[in-house]
Amino acid sequence: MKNNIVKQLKSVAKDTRLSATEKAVIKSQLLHYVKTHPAGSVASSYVHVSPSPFSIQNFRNKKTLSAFVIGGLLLGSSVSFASENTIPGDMLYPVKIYVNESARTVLAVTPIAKAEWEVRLAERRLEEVEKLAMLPGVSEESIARAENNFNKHTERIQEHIVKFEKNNDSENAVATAGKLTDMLRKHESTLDKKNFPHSLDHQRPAIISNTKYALESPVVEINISAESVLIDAVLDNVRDARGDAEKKQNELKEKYEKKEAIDHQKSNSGTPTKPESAELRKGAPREEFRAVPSKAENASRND
Amino acid sequence: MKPNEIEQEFTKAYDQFADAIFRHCVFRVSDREKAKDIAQGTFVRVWGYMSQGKEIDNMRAFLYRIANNLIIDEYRKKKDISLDHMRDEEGFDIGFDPRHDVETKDEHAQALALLECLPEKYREALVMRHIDGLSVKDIAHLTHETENVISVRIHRAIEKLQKLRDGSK
Repeated sequence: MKNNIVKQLKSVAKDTRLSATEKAVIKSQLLHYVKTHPAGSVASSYVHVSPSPFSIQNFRNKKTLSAFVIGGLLLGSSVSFASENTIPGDMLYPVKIYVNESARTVLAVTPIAKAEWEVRLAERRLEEVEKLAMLPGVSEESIARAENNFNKHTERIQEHIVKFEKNNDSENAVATAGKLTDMLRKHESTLDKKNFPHSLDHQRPAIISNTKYALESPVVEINISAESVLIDAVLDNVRDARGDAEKKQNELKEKYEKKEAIDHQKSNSGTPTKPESAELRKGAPREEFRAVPSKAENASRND
Repeated sequence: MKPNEIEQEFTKAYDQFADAIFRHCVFRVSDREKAKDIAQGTFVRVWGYMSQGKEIDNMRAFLYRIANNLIIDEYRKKKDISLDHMRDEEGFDIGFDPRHDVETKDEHAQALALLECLPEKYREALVMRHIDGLSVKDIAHLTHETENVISVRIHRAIEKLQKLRDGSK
């Protein structure tokens, strides 16, 4: 049975062929085609479309592409990671401040997160100054740069606090000012200890005054004087900023305590609170912040 | 290879395989005229390949592969036309030599009608194996399938044809 159907097909197939004329006609047509498209010329007239080397359809390219992407990510992340501990003057320092920190600034979405991050940034600048102070033979430029950046950040923090105030966000304003104060106080003491940080001083007591040091080791005095002056300037700067921040924090606390009391009174008496709050807002102008002293100012004072 | 030699090679291939390719096409598309077109198109393509100076190792397999591709293209084109529609409106143009008598004509018609009912993959495997006499290995190579898959398809194709024929009797 099975063979039958295959046999039937085969016998049908045997009789299926082109007739002699059909075959001849097709052949002549083909030969005509062969004459009009001779060997060699066809190759030139035939537009061979080779896949673009940039084509993503090409499998090998997909591999290369993914290798590049993975490699890029690895390189990027390791550079970014390596740059985290850099100080001004290092090759990767720009990566730290322009790439890593910009990325995290973008990630801080809420105003309070922004303010907190700004405080952290100011702290990072101070950490850099501390690191610089630990190293011998650091250029003045590097310290100046770190200080400059620190000033920028503190200014921005103050702006944030003013913004909080404007929005009557007393909690955040006080919290930010408090954080700034704490941070500045912490680093103030560290900087103070590190006033003379060179490797020569390892055996010396941590706290030692500039003049004392100069008397005891006049040889290195020239080398370090410029630097120590700068560090002092930073320290003064930090002190001023801390003073401002503390002042501001206290002011804000007082103000809001007062406001709360008034609000409490008002709510008890049932009168509107609007005029008072407006007055309060007016009572906290930006000018209360003393501008963070410039480097030059500090340096002159230090002299 | 010189241009003359390539031409000779091509003519030789035509003389040798034209009938076989035509037969394959007839059993695949059930249309004599269309089969002629596809067979001719197959050789045109082969010439296009040869004229670029490219070598062909196995002419027979190469011809079948091109023909198979052209047939698949043809199927894609006419997918929207149903078989019933073809049978009712146009009738079968069966691929037989018109000189044969009525009895063979019936046999041709029946065989092609049965093949029409097979799924395309089964038909492909069956025609290649029993009409063209290709080995299972060659078919597997041509259609990019495993030999096992091809064997199963041929087996099922025959089973199905038998069922169809018994049912129609």
